[in-house]
Amino acid sequence: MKYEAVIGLEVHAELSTESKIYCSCSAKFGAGINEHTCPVCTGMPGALPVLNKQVVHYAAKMGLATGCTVNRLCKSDRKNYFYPDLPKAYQISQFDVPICENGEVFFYVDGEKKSCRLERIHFEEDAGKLLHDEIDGTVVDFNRCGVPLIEMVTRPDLHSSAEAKEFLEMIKTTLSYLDICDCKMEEGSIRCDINVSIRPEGTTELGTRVEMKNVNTFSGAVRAIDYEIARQIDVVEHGGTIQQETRRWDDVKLKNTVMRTKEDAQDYRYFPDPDLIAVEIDDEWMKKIESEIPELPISRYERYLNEYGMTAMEARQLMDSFPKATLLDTAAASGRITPKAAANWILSDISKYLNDKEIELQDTKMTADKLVDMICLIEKGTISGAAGKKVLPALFETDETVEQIVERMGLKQVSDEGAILAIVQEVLAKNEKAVNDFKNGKNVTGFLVGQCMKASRGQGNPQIINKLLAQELAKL
Amino acid sequence: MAITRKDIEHIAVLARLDMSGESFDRLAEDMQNIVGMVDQLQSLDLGDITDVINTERKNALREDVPVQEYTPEELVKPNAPDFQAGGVAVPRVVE
Amino acid sequence: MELFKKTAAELSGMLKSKEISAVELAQDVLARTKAVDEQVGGYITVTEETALAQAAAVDAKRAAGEELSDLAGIPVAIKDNICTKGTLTTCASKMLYNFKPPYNATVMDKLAGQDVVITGKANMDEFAMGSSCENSAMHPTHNPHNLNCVPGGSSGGSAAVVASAQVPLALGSDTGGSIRQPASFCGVVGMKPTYGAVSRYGLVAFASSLDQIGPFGRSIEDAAMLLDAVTAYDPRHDSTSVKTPFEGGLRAGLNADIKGLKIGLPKEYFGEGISAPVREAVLKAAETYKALGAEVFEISLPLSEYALPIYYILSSAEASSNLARYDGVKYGYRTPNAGDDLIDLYVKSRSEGFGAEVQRRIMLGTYVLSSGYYDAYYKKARAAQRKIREEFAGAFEKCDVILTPVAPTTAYELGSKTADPLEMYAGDICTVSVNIAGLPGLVQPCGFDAANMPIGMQLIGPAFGEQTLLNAGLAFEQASGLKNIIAAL
Repeated sequence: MKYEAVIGLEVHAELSTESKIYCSCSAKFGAGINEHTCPVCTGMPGALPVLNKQVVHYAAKMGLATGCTVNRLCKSDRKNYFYPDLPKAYQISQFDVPICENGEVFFYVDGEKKSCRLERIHFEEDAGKLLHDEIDGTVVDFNRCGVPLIEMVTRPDLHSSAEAKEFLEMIKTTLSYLDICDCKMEEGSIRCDINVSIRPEGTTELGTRVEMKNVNTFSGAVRAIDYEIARQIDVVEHGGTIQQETRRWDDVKLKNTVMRTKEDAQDYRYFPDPDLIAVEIDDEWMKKIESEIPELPISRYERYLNEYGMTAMEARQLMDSFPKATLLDTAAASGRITPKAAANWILSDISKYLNDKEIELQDTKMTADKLVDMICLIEKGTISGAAGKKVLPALFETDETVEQIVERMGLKQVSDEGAILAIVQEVLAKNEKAVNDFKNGKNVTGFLVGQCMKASRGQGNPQIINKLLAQELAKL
Repeated sequence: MAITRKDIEHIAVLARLDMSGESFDRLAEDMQNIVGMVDQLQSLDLGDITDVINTERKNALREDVPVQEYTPEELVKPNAPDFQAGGVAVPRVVE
Repeated sequence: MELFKKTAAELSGMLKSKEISAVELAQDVLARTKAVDEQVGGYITVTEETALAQAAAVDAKRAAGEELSDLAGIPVAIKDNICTKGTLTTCASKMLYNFKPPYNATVMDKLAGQDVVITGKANMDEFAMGSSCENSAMHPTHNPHNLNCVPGGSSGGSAAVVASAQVPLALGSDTGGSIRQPASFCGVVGMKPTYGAVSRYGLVAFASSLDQIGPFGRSIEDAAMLLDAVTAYDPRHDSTSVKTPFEGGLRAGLNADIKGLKIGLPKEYFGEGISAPVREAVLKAAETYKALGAEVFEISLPLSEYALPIYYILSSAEASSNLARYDGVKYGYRTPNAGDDLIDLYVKSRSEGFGAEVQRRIMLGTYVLSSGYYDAYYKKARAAQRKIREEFAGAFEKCDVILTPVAPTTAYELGSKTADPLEMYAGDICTVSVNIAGLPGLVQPCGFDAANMPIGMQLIGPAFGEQTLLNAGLAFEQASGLKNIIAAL
């Protein structure tokens, strides 16, 4: 029998706020154990939470970017359970009235457009970290307690690990476009739980689902999903039934094991947190949030494909980086160059520079204006394409204009025919052997052009050198 | 709604309390009486009131400005039953 | 000089005129504590050293000509569930037997800012759960008017140290009557302010939506002084804090002219559950008000009969969650008997650390929030709470204040009600509605029973009606002369 997998995801993203969600402690990653803590986030008796406005702002932003309805009125609830990384023994989250509901995320898988509905997005606090390598037992680090998270819960609309991966990539790209998450996977900025079930192909009833936890990378998600689908098919094929349970993925051993069965399912006893009051987003606030949503990645991708005539790979590469896509769109909007010309530079030399230097575009001095100026100089013939590549590092590193750089580096192309003719004649005079070879029918043009370029210190316009060289050789 | 002994055992597990042993009978009786008392509420007809969000007050929000007022030495260590390697220590947790 | 017998207002004047020094005053009240607290058991911790140091600092400031607050140098006792930085804050529980908060409650910062002298931490029912102070894991507190009787609870220690003149003022907290009922039992003034008027930051939570910090004193003016000192909008630390119209100005606004004040007597509060001496004393107070020119008439608050179940559902539900943090991991009691098992550590720390009443409430609260029961209990209680609020709002369209008894009886003997939790709960019948509705409630003495035990009366006002309540209280205090009652010890 053939089976169809049905997959739903719960994606947690840490929001890149300065301070934590319910206290003023720094939310930055990487401090020493318990250095970012206070009475509130360590659950001291008597301490009380006060909600960070930016968390509401960011969560609503993600809702708008994923087509959700933003609930203008929402509240906070307590999710009660005991665990050492949860100092209050409850997590402040949102239960029956989340900030956002009913969205849809679009993405491409092998050139085909797909979508996955979002049931909800809510904000909540992260838990602390348990450290097992410090001592014999376990040490609790509360730094991460209270770091703001949004949890995005999908409908079971995904059917393969490839779809899940592309969905996750699109979520990550969207978060980075909105600048609300630093998307550092290695720091656990984005994590997900995966629900998987299978059903005979062609049927619509949902099978018993298994939840998988501890998936920390997107490639890990692919492996975990593929494993779980295969495991479930194997169970069913051998006459077994799937148990509703939670399993823990081990990305080293590449297998999952049972964490909790249905019998010991948790009863979280959600109830409205009496320490917090309702959150209302009024019209003015909503307008401000709306005004901060840039053109979304999927829309840019489709524009690059359909309007700029790029390949899927090029369009994807540009879409994936908000700074690069923005550089391209701003450069194209100048109307002085073709989008293709800017895209070529961005995808090749600019990307290479950034990779080599391990630096982000937004952390450099590159601007769309500079890029456009440089391309225009090349197109006008003021500098050569090769000179452009030499100019590039200075565009990232200095505040100089392109003209100033070209001037300083002496890269202005010589197109004056008189000056170039003098060089050509001098080169012919100095290279008797080549001239003789030419006379004997050998092709020495390449060599002589090279000598001319060298004599012009790279500044001679190659087209004019070619033309004049041919003209002079013909005279021999 | 009468609360059964099985309910009480289940609730004790959720609340991380030990309700076994000799005191159980006494507790079960107390719980049954107390639940009987709060059950009086069931005779109150509230019509269609459903209290989803209390909107008497709204938006107690804080600006996103970090302030670090405490060190782990001041905050966590003095009251920790077992403080090691900069944090509270617990028996090894198998995740 | 027996300074300890004076009211805070009197002492404030004497300090200002330099008739006495803060150190003299501190020494005097601390000596009183040494003399009587062995019998009363009002304190868990007496902070003698820091109190004397604070007093000396106040004297130095005054000598330097600094402008000081009305409460500068006045001794105040603090209920042991209010966090005092570096000073034991036990909640009268084995669970927090060694807990020294690394931070101050907002009210403590407010008091420090006004150079108040803190004399110590007062006894209470464990985690504020109880009505007799017998649930303290440390020791019981005795009623200074009769040492065989309870002082009431949960703020029984705060009420007793004020009634025994160990201190003119104390802070307590009130979740279902925990300031008002002990004030009534001990013959002092106690006030539960409007929910949100005083910051809860640093008050160890019992039931977050009901808890409020409030003052004890031996006069209306004293209670107003202390409430003025701690009322504060605290948006940085407490989301439920609100800006009050009277912030800091209650004492200045006192006015005993209550002609035309409309006083409602809810008939449900005078039923057969209320003992005759209490009923008669409160009705006599109503007559006094009439004589003072108030208009007194009967009203009805029919939902009162549901107040106890609503209160016990909401308060226990919140408590079960608020007290989950006491798990033996981060602070307080950790069982020595857990070995290497984490669940064992939780269960044993909690079962050994919490007393029986706290465990009962956690059990009830966990039950009413648990899957399958939430709608019938918790959700319904929340909806009923709204109804009760509406009912009070309706009543306050007709009257300015509501006059009721505080407790069905006067103080009873220790041990007489500990066997049956329900009997103890029933004693909260007159006070819990005020918390459910978030309203202010003022309690002051209005007489004595045949055994010469104090009887209190309760004035309930609309939200932020504190000034009206205190004015009505002052009018009665002046007319009755029931002021600065000090138990004979």
